[in-house]
Parts: sequence; C-alpha cells; structure tokens
Amino acid sequence: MNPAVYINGTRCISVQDTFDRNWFFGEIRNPGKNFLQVSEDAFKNAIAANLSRRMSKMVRMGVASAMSAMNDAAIEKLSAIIVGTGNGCFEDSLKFLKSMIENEEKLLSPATFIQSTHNTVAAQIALLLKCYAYNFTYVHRGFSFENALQDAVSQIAEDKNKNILVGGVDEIPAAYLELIDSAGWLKKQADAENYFSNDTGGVIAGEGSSFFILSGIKSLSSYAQLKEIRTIYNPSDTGELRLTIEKFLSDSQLQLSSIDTVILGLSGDAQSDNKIKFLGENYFKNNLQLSFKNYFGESPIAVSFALWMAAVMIRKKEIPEALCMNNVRRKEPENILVFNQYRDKNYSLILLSKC
Amino acid sequence: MPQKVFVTGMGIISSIGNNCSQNFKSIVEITPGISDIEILETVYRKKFKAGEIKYSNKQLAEMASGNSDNLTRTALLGMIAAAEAMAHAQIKNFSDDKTGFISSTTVAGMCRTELLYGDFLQSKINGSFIETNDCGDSTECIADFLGIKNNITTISTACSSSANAIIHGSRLIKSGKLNRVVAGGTDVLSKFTLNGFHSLQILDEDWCKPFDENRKGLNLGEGAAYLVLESEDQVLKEGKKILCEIKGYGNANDAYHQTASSPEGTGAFLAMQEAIQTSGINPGEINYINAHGTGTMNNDLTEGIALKKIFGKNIPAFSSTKSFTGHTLAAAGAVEAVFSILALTNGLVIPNLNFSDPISALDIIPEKKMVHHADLKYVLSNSFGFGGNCSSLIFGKV
Repeated sequence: MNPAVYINGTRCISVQDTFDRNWFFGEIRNPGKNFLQVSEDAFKNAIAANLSRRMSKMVRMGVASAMSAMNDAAIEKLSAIIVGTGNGCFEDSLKFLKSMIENEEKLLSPATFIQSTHNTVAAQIALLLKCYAYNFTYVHRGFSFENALQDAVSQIAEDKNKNILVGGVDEIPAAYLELIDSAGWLKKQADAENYFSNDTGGVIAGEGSSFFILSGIKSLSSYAQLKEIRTIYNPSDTGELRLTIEKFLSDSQLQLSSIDTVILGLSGDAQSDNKIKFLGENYFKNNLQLSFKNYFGESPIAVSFALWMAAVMIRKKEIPEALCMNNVRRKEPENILVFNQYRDKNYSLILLSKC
Repeated sequence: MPQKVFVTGMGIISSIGNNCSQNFKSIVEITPGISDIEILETVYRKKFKAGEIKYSNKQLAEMASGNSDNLTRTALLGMIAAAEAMAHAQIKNFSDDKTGFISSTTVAGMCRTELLYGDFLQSKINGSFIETNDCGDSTECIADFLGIKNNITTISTACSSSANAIIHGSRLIKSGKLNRVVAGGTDVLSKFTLNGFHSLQILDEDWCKPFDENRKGLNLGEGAAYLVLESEDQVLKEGKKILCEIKGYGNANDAYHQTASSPEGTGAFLAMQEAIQTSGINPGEINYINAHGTGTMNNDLTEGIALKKIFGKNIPAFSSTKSFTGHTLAAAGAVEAVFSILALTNGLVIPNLNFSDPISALDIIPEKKMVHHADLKYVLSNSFGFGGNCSSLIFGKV
C-alpha cells in the first residue's frame, strides 16, 4: 500500500497558456500544425537572463517550471529532485553531432556536448538551488515521467516529511521534427486540423514541462492526493489491459463507477490509439472521458500534462467542457484516472483523488 | 522489517572478457584491455587508446544468439551481460509481476545515429534510426530478449547511471515492492563521446594513470554489466546461493558545475557518507574501495579529498579498475560492482595500474600490487558523473 502522497504545488509549461496560473482552458490555442512548439515569452522572466542565455530551451522549460512549482507550494528546500525525459537534451546532442560530422571530428567546441547528457535538467536545478539531495533522471520512453513519480512516492514512503520535486520535460527542436517526420511518426499537415475525427496515422508532436511538489504532509496549497501509479509494457491485447485496470482499481479499493473522470492518452495516431479507443467505447463507456493530447501534442512525457490538468481540475472543482469526449454528465471531480499510452508500447495508469 | 537485498547472479562483457570468469582471469593475470582503436570508425584511431571490445556488431549478435536486425551495439552488449546474470542466478522465468529490469545508458542509440545522420542531413529521408536513438530502446530490446515483462525502466545520470540502477533496484526490494530485479547498464564506444571528451581535453593519449600526479585524463571504454538482486525472502524460499549483500548506498548531487567536481568533493563525500550510514557500519570496517578514479586532473584530486574527509589518515586499500577497462560511462557502476564482488568473494585487492607518483596535494597511494588472500568484509564502490550525480555502493560478505 502506498503512503498518502499529496501534490502541494505544480506548474506547467506547454503550447497552451498553462504558465499563467489563472488560465484553465479559457482561450485555447490551436495552431493547426502537426507540431506544437512552446513560446518562451510567458516564462522568459522566470530565470535570470545571464543564466538562461547559457541554457537550452529544454533546460529553460524545466528550470522555470520547477522553480515555479516550488513557489506554488511555498517551499524553499527539497529532499529530492527527480526528472523524467524521453529524449533528453535532443537539440544540444544533435548540434554536437552535426558539428562533429561537418568538421570531420576536428576542432569541436565542448559547449553543446556538456549540456547533451540526459541528466542536465535535474543537474541544473540542483546547481541553481545548491541542492545536494537525491538526484535522479529517468529516461524510459513513455514511462519516463511515471517512473519519476513512482520513485517520488517511494521516497515519501521512507519519510512523509520529505518535499520531492518531480517533473517531466521534453523538447521538439527542428532537428527532432525532421527525423520523426521522415520516420512517419508525424501526422500529415493536411490531417492535422481534424485531430481525432479521421482514421489517420501519425501524431501531432508536442513539448513542454510539468513539475510537481509531492509530500506526505497535506498543506494549505494541496491540490489532490496521488493514489496509485502503474506501468504496463507492451500489452498483447485489450483483455490484458482490462485485467490490469481491474486489478489497479481493486488495489486502490475503488469501483469503476467511483471513477468520475477518465483522461485518455489518445494520440491521434489511429494505430496506437486502437486499444484505448476500444476500452473507451466499452469498459469506460459510463465514465466521463477527456482527451488532452489534442491540446498539448504527443511526447514521451505528455502524461505529465494530464496529471497537471487533473490536479487543477480537482482543486478548481471544475472540468472544462472543451476537454470532454462523451456526454456523461460532468460533476465535481473526486477520483480521476489517467490512462495513457505512448506508441502503443508504454501504457500507464495514474489515480488522483480529492484530498 | 525492510528486506535485505542479496546479489545472486552477475554478468559482464568488457574489454577484458566476455563473461565473469574471463574478466576475473584478466584481473588476476593483470591483463588490461586498453589498446589501439580497431572497431570504431574514427579519425582518432591512431591517437587515442580505448577499452574496446574487439568484436564487430555481427559477431556480438552471434554471441547473443539473437537476431541482429535493428539492434544497436548498446543493446547487444546489454543482452550478452544480462543473459549471463540471469543464467548465473539460475532464473528461468522473469515474467512475473514482482520482477523488474532496470537498465541505464548514456550513449544509447547514438552509436547508430552517428553513422546515419550525415546522410540524413543531405537527403532528409530515412530517418527511421530515430527509433533506436533513445535510452529506452536498448532496455526494451534486452527486456524482450530476457522475457522480462513488468517494471521496466531506464536511468541516465551520466557516469553514475548503473550505480543508480543498482540503488533503485535495491530500494524496490528493500521496500517489498519487488522480489527480484536485474539492474545494471550498457554503454558502447562512439565517435560522439570520444569527440565530446576530446573537446573537453580530458582524454589521455597514453594509458590512463588514475591517482597519479602526472595523470593526463581518461581512456574511454565500453561494456555492459548486470546484477541479479533478490530479496531475503525470495532467496530463503528458493535456497539460493548468495554472492553478497547490498549493504548500503548513497546518492547525492555535487551542485557545483555541469562537468567539473567541487574543490571540496562535496558530492562524493555525501554519497560515501550516506552509503556508510545506510550500511550501519563504521568507515574503518571497509577493507577495499573501488574508486571512480577516471584519471582526470579534476576527479582524482577531489575524490581523494573526499576519501580523506571520510577516512582520515586510515584510507582503506583503494584502486581504480578503469586502468583495466577504461571508463565505460553509464556501465561503469555495474562493471565495477562486478569487480568489487569478485574482489570480495575471492579475497582480492585489485591493483591500480600505471601509478608511479602520488598527487602532491593529497599524498595518498592506491594499491599498486595484487593482494591475494585478503580478508575482505566490506567493499565500497564509487561512481560520479557529469551534472554532479554522485553515487556510492557498499557490498558486504555473507
């Protein structure tokens, strides 16, 4: 059994105006493109200019949302820094690679190599805060953020007084987009506007960063209680997924009917969405269903946006109509289940409850 | 009561052997694996030495008895080492939900990307190598190969990655979440890392000289290593043979600089201190330290300062086995865990090769000769990385 774990602060940077504390799906940005890149205007003042100049966009997004989540929880000291990222510092890695290829391995500047390691965001946060505590980076595709969350929960099981910073961050620089486009991962631009309405292949790529402060102690700033997390690798069919969900719910001592809202990780790629779509039409047909990747795009850590959304919905006691996919009546959310998939291989379940 | 964590199997491939017994033989016979580069295609073949595994990917695929299609060298090395660990622990079925696989890598699929990206930049077609570029790729290839279905994860904290995989696995068992974890890491030589470390001017053109006053830098290496960790209950239930206990571990951040360690060796000190505390032993009970000891000016000085801070005047016998294998980056923590356990179970203190003069600011001397029949009870192993990630492990004799 997991200890009681509370989300006591959060901040999200995405293609939507999520960095603005008051924004909650009022004005929704829909660029109609097959990739959704984050504008840095909203958070450019969150990091001192002399520091941010030397950081990549990935690090800037991570640091700004991490610091801001700490402010939100009104804490200054961390017991651990745990980051999940599927692709790491992609832009700096490929910049170094490109210069190595173009210069035939001669006279290279180390600047981009130094920032290319996957642990750069967690390292930079530790450096800025002078935080010597436990510091971890998980890099497993569509499990990266879930694994970071699981680790945070296990830290709190050891000591409920800990304040853990946990987050997910990924970037989609041009060098990444042209690669996934050529590999057929991106939706064709012509299909991008009708995200779910047609059976097309490919996803709309997204980027951003969501950070959370978790603790075993409930506070005035608590959003919600994080009840349970599970990952499911490469399920063979919907039957296996359904069995896992049933076990997940019974372990959480909840009936399916007590789940008032399910956030589904539909990516827009017809093939990868098959299993979740099927379970949505059958197993979850009486639950209110929401989507989120049509607003944030797909990425290995996209699920962190769903968790941010769920936490804010529970605190605001409000479910924005724009997110709803079916006609089940909306009510004040008490138990929200996030059911995500990444490339039909990495599935996960996260349960969040009112506290 | 928290579960004790035992090691019941291990597997390794490095430049000094394809399995545990070959690695052990090379250590005992003092046969280092650092040599001229022959497999990696680079303009620096004549300039730098490396701990290179002298097999082509095709040969490695045959060794792994797997299909080589779309498998990176990173995945292949991992498959070979993890399969040995699994056989060593005599485990046939890894598919239950209380078993996990924790791998780690820094190079990941870059070894393949770097060969294909130049053409892609010209043509902008055939970018499908992106599918094997990320860190999770090798982990999933290895998990599929072993038949591990649940609790799969990948860690990347630079050169402390696989030490952290072992820490994470130990914590999962200690808390009762899992009964059995295969934990370790895999990293291969790549032009990317060779050029990266060269651009930082921390590669020695000669054999590396850890803890020597005239050290010039590190030699890169490649390898993979995994431990099978099992809970006390699991071991008792199956009457398993135990290699050693994971007695303690520590993880801290140096919070000083992205690539350089702090002058006081704060992160290294904190990691060792925490490992000793969680072990419940006194520093004086540690008999051998497998140091991080990369051979760079910065690491060896600050690691030495941290050692002096922990142990005072009585620093136990210590050495850097990177003088045998080169620095295997993400795999180093697990490779050196295997060496530490071989030292512990065979009563061996492994020498630090190529050492002649102590660092004048420190005046500490690593073990220069092989010590046989050493009475070892506890061995400490250090792994530190870019981003200030510092980790220490303590292995205890059972």
